Parts: sequence; structure tokens; C-alpha cells
Amino acid sequence: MEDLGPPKRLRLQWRVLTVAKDADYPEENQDAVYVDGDGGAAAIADGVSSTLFARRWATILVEAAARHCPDPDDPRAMAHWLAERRAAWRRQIDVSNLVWFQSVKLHEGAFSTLLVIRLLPPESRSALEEPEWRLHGVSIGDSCLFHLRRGRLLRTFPIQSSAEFDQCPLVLGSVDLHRDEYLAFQRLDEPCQEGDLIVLCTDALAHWALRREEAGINTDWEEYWDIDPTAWKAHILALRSQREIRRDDTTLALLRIVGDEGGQSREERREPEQAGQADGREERNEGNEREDEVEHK
Amino acid sequence: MPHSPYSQEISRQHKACFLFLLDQSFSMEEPLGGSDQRKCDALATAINDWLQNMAILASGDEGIKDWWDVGVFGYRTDEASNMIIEPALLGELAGKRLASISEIGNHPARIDTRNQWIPSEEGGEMISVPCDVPIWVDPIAQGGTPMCNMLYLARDLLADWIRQHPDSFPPIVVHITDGESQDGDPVPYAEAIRKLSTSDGQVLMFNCHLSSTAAAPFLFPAKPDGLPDRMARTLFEMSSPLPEHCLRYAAEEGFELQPGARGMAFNADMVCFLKFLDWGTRRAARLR
Repeated sequence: MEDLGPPKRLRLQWRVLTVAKDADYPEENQDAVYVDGDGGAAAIADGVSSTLFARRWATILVEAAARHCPDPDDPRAMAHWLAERRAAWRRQIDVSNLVWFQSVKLHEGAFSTLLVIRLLPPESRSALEEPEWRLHGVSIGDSCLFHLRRGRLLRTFPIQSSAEFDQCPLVLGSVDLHRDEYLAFQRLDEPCQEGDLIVLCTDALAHWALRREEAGINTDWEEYWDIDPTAWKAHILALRSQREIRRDDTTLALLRIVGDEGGQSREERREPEQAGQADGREERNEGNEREDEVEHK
Repeated sequence: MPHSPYSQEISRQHKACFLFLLDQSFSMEEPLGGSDQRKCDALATAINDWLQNMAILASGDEGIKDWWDVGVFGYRTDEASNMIIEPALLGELAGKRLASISEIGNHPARIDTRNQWIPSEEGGEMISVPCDVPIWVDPIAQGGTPMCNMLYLARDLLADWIRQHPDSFPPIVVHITDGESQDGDPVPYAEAIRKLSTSDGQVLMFNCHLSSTAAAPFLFPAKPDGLPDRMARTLFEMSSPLPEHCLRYAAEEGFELQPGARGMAFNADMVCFLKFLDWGTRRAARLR
């Protein structure tokens, strides 16, 4: 038998940048991102800011979805998965400390979008053909994915044009309001390869980027790999003041598909005082990272 | 690049402003058309519910975010026909011309209990449960209707606010009455309010007439033709056209609004009044 060598593995290098709707109140940022670089999975969620404890809900969703997202076409599995997440959200809330406006709002729960992606290995392997990895995605709401190869935009998901953005996107609720049958998940299944750049972002940034694309202006996502977080925040604030971008929590996750031939990759991680407390928050990873070291937003 | 009017997003840096002008004249004692509830009671309930909902809307994990200021004024006359124009908020906020939504949320005058119908957690069927209801305003019905003086004061108040918030979404004025002005023609005073503007557009002035009879209501008419009387046409002239995005929202919800639809209701019953209030505030300010 021909020696095929160890199977190639793809994983994700990543960087996350975020600026809250009110940049002076980063604790009010309701967006969340979770990246399992080694597992080739990532998720982004946009908690609805007018709902209560939306960031906790968004964080619960991204963590769970990046680990395992049930088939949206299996309603029983999805219902079970959602019920577990809802119970987890409820366990985190101390109802004894709520004031009247929070008590009222708690009945409605929190709401959030969810977009999760996963790199899936080729199903069969032969010496004659290059194995094809797949990029799978599941989405509810208007958080968006941009898939680029060598700087060229291959596709967006699930939103295709800026006109599709709606102020009332479909969202997952942390309380079962008996409306789950109306949830309509979007699915992505496309080939991907080493070197591809996957951009995940919440709606404000996606809307801005899609409008530029429609005007014939390509967004150079690559330049955000090395931008200083403070400079990124200034960039977003300038866009807001020019009313080029919606005033909303703005989050960007850059995911580079890289090969791993079995060797250890270099790790780089900024210390919290540099990253989390910079004006524009950021996280970065260029190698294998234990799950418990990953911070979430 | 120029921006379309009424597009400024509401935030702490660009607060919104909602100003309610409430007719508190004696005729508000009468029942609201089609119901046995006094108009002043229906009005107080609607304003308290609105304040509660707007505080909830602005609340988050850490408290209430100061996204908007709210003023609630009442106008009437006393037994000697002296006009009374004063802020209507009670309790710690008594006397405040404008209060931030966090002040409002954190300082209801009192908490009443009211039975409300909510879906049960188990099966989703509706059950009646006692609920705490925060109260900021009480019903008042006394004397006459000094509408022009109310509008004159409102104009000065809004001009001050705009000087402090020149780039905000423009203030929204919601005027609720059940009768004609007794101190002159209100149209020029309403026009003076509507001429005020921020960089995002002119002040929006919406007017609602509460009906004492079960007559058919007129909601958001686009033309004065067909309105039943002079008072209805006066309210039409006082009222701003609804912003274009309201027409779009309405179309998305299968609710037809004609281009040029004015922010007014005439002969409003409770259903019409609540619809007017919702579209004249949250929808107009793009808060959904």
C-alpha cells in the first residue's frame, strides 16, 4: 500500500476585534465570539441589546455551537439542544437581585443571532484526487460570513446583499415563547482550502462591507490582521461619526484556514491588559490553544 | 455624503426626546368612546404603560441606559379660569420638565397592583396574575383647555433641548386632547414647534383627539378631505407627516399608510389611541 502519510488537518488561526455600541461602555457589548482553532470551528452571536442578559445568552450559544451544533433539519435534536442552553442561561441569573424593569423583562428572555462554522475533512481519500475540505455553516439572523481566497471574495453567507438587512432579524430566544417553529436556519456547505480567509462579523460591519462591495469597493480584510486594536476602534468610531456604519456593537472575527502537519505552531497571545483593556478589544491566536484559555465576548 | 432625515441612531451621545402634552380639562371626565373608562383614566394608564415599556426597552444588565429624555406636561385651568400648565410626573420627579429615562425607571411615584393576562409557563394558555405596575402620572380632569399656551411653552422647552442636542433624532411631541383650544388658534403655535429642527430633521408633532362617542376613528389621514369637521382639520394642520420609514414599516406589516400620512388620530377609541401612541413614538423613532 502506498504510504499516504498522516492525514492532513486544517485548523483556524484567528483574531477577534470588537467595539461596543457605546464605546465608553464596553461591558454593554452584547456580541460574542468563540473559536476552537484546533477543532476548526467558530461561532459568532449578536445579542439583542434591548433584551436582558443578552451577552450571557450569546456567549452560551457560541460556546455550545462551536462544540456541537445539531442538524437544524432535526427538530427534536434542535429542541433538545436549545432547551439545554436555555436552562444554562436561567441558571446564571440571580433573580433575587433584579429591579422591577429587569423582572418584567426577564419573562421575555434574551435574544441573539447565531452563526457557526466548522471545517469538515474530506469524506473519502484517494491518491488520485486532492482531498476537498468543506466549510459548513449554520445561521439564524443577520450575523454574516465572508469567504475570501487570495483577497477575492468567493461568497457571503447568509446575507447576500445590504438590502437584506432588517431591523428585526430572526433570533434565538433564551426563553421558550412557543415560537421555535418559526425559526428558519440557513445552511452553508462549500469547498474550502488552506489559506482561505473566513470573516465572521455582526450586522453593522457586514452591512457596511456589503454596501461597499455593491459600490465596487473591496474591503481589505487582510489589513485587519495586524491593525492595532486602538486604531481599529478609531476606524470604527470614525465610520460611525460619518454615519457610514450603524451605531451598534461591532465585532469582527478573522479566521485563517491553515494546515497542521503535526508540528506545534507558534502561539501568540496578547496579555489581557493589552488586549481586553485596549480601547478596541481584541483577541488573537496563531496556534493551538487549550479551550479553557479562550476568552469569549 | 448627505443623510436622509430621521435617520440618526439613538444612543447616549445622540439622545432622543419625547414630550407628551396632555389635555387635563374637565371633559376628560367623560367616558372614552366605545368604553366605560374615563378618558383621563385611559390616558393616564396609557402614559404609565408607555413609560414602563420605554424604561424596559432601555434597560440592560447594568441598569437603564440614558437613550432618551421624556417630558410629560398637563394643561387645564382652575376654578378661577387661571391656566395651569405643569409637569405631570409625580413623586421624586414632580416638577421636572424633562427627565432622563433612567430617572424615570428608577423613580416611579408608587407601585400599584393590577391583574394582567400572561401566557402560563407550562402550556402557554393565558392566565390572570396580579402584576406590579409602576405609576408616574395620575388622571386629572379640571377646567378649560389652554392649548396655545401649552404649545408656546413646549416650543421654548424643545428649543433649549435642541441647543444641547443639535445632532440628535429630532424631538417627538405627542399631544393628546379631547376638545378645541380655548385660548386661540393652535395651528401657528404647532407650526412654530414643527419649524424647530436638529441636523437630522424637523421636530415631529403628532396630535390625537380622544372621542366621547363611538364614531369611526380617523388614523393617520393623508389629506384633510373627508375629515368630519373644523376641529379635525385643525389637528391635521397641526400634525407632521409621518417619516418615510414609518410608511415602509407599515407596508412590511401589511398596514397601509398613504404617502403624506399625518401623525394624527381623530375620534380615537382605545385601540386607535394605542396604535397612534406606538406609531407616533417608538416606530417614528425607529425603535422596534
